Amino acid sequence: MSTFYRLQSIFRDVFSNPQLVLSADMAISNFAEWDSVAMIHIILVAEAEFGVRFNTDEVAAASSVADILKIIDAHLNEL
Amino acid sequence: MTLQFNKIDKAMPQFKLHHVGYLVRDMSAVKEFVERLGYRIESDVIEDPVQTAFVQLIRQPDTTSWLELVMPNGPESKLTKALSKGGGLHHLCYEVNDIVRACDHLRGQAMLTLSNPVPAAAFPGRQIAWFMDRGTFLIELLESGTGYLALASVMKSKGVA
Repeated sequence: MSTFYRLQSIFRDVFSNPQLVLSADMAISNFAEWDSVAMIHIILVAEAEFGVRFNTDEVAAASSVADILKIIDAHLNEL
Repeated sequence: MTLQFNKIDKAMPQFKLHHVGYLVRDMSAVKEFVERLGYRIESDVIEDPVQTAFVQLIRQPDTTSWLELVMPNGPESKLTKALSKGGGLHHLCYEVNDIVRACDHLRGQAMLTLSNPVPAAAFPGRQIAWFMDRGTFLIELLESGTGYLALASVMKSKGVA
């Protein structure tokens, strides 16, 4: 499964919405349920799922699906 | 039934409870803790830019940890949303000897770093760091030190090594 669809599964789990369809432009600013606590949840689950570790600057800068995908891909390329 | 204590990993950093953070709407709440429960005020009201809050440390005589009253320092505070949900118990703060090693340990225990070690406004000369897990359990780490608000001072006054 691609990184995108694995991340979509994570979002569906975090937001308890099995129908949620992820898009790259989905962001904290345009998705009301996505607050800072949800972001922490997403990142911790993503770290476990992909076997990567976000650094503090990346966590602070991430605010959209596109940002998270970019960070995950960058770390996966380092492996 | 015999209680079986777990073994302590001696190689693990030691985390000693320093204070419990308690989120309040107004610092006048200190009066309730003093009059109802016998707390003693042990710090001024201090602005903490990391927490975007005003904080004040209080402690009951003959106890070895503090209660930190925490109040948002304005409408843009990171704590405003938490307060809108009711406030109350907010975080646990642990004193550690080696804050970098303790941070590494928590990061490896499925906790996310919210803030790397930075100087602590309420504890001059010491550093603090912040972590949260996916259950929103919030932990503050405080570098051990000396002085009035250090565990070493309280333990010494109690004759505890």
